Amino acid sequence: MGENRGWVAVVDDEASVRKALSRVLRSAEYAVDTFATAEEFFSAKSAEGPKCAILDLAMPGIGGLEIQARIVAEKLDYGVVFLTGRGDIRSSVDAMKLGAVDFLTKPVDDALLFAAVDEALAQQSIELADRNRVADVRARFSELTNREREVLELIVTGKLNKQIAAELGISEKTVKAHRAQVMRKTHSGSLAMLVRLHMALQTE
Amino acid sequence: MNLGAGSVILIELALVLAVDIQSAEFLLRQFGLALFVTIMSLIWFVYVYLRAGSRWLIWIIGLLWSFTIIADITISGSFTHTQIGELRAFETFWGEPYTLAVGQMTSWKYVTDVASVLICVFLLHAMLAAWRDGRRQRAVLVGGGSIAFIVIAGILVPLQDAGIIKVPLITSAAFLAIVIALAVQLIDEAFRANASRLEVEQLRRAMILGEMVGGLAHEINQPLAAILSNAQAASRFMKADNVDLDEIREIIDDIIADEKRASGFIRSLRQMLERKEHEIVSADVNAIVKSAARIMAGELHTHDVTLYMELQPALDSVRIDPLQIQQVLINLLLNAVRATAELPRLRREVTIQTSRYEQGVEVVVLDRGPGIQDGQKAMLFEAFVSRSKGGLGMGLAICKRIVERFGGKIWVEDRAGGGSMLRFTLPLAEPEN
Repeated sequence: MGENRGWVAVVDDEASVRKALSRVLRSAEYAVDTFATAEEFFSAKSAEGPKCAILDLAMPGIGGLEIQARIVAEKLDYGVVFLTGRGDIRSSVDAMKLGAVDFLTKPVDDALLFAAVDEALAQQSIELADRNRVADVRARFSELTNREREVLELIVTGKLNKQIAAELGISEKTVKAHRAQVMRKTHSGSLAMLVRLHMALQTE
Repeated sequence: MNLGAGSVILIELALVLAVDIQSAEFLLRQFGLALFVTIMSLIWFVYVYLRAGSRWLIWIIGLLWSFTIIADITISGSFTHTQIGELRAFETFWGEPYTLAVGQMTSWKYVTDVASVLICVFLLHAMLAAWRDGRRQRAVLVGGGSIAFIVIAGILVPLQDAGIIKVPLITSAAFLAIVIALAVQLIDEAFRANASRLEVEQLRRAMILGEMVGGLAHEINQPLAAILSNAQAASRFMKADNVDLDEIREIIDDIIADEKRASGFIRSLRQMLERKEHEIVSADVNAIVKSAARIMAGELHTHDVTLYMELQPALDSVRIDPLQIQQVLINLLLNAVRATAELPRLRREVTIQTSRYEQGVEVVVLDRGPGIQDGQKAMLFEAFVSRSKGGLGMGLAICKRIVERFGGKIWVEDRAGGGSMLRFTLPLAEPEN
């Protein structure tokens, strides 16, 4: 299935519902995997890239909320959509706090379902892109030498070359050279951009 | 109360029969005691039935009467039984007016007269109280009937004893009329009580369903969800260039199966809620257990409780009302789920067992919940004692009533390893001769 609208995992303990959801998703060109339990879901090998997980809220054994918590904790590439036979407010609040895209009640209309799945996939693509960018920035920063890193830490606090030179006990000229290396290695076009990238790494 | 009322009628009937069958002499000997028993039961019956009247008046009347009865026996102890009869009935008093112990006898007579007046006061008082409460029909029928009884007894007996009315059957006919009036009232009340019991049971069934509305919604939503997604999938597949007819056929079969499942479930709910008279048939308890489990499926699912069924195959059938026993089972299962819901997942299991014992079939519902404290075990089956915080507590009282109606027993025991066992028995019907 080369051309598809995205990968969807359906986790529902009820066979008839699982089968029907799989069919309706396949009819709209999604690639679908179905799982009866959380254990099956976590032990299966999933495709690379952004994916959507449609989780049944109440299942014997591990329920949807716990699956979502594990997806979040392990940073798995799944956007989560909940599907439940009885939508109670408490669980939907919990689910949304953990970043679920939508909380749908059964029976679900296909248009609503597809919209939620698409949103989950889009959200995952953005998150994945973010994650890739951060990884990229980290890689660039890891190229810096120890001295360059020392200079960087002082640059981002807004210190002038002269002050940095005095603090590190080196010449102002050497500081300038290190500074140029830092800007080049981190692909920063300006001091503002360098500060932003640095901050992105700190918050990660 | 019913028992008391029944005993009143029985005693009264016995008295009436005695009047009819026995000779006048024997009647006279028995009359004092029989009348005492009758009147005391009547007073007690009025007191209990109308829930009115004063208790101390009953005591005084009782004491006065027993005093005269004892006095009759002990003081006239030297006399024969015939003489006691003469003394009580005053027949000899008229026939031989100048015999011994006249003074003594008249003083006893006053004591009985005081008692009779007090009885009338008691009855009037109780009747008025009931009337003021708005229970007018009861007050007039029972209170009025009782007063008529006393008045007739008070007037007819001396007249008859005096030889003015010679036929003792008149007295008994008057008694009989009153007994019948009271019986009619009682039967009417009993009939209504039975009708309202039916209503309570039906209401309880509705409440049970209300308590598990989430689970019920789940049971209907699942097939509906599958039907909708299947239909929408089929509709989209049909728009493809080359339609896979096999897949479409498969989808339609699944839609039909899911519809059957949903409508079957709704049918079982409707049966449970339909108001109908009890229908006692020869039934298979295992089948009823399965139908109860079917209705409970969603509730078990939403509380993440696993139900194990250990049903002894080929159980003898028992004569019961399947709907009522299903209600008992659902009630017990619901209690077990409630007791289990807070437990860690591994202990969230409920087991239901059926087995044959010498006299019939036994059903056990086991859970791993906190169990029932010893002090509460007996009270558990009283109305308004609730096991679960949210429950209305009527559940087990109704279960007990239903099980006992079919000759069974219901009780609770501790389960080894924690939790409780609710057990009930249903005896086999006696083979008809």
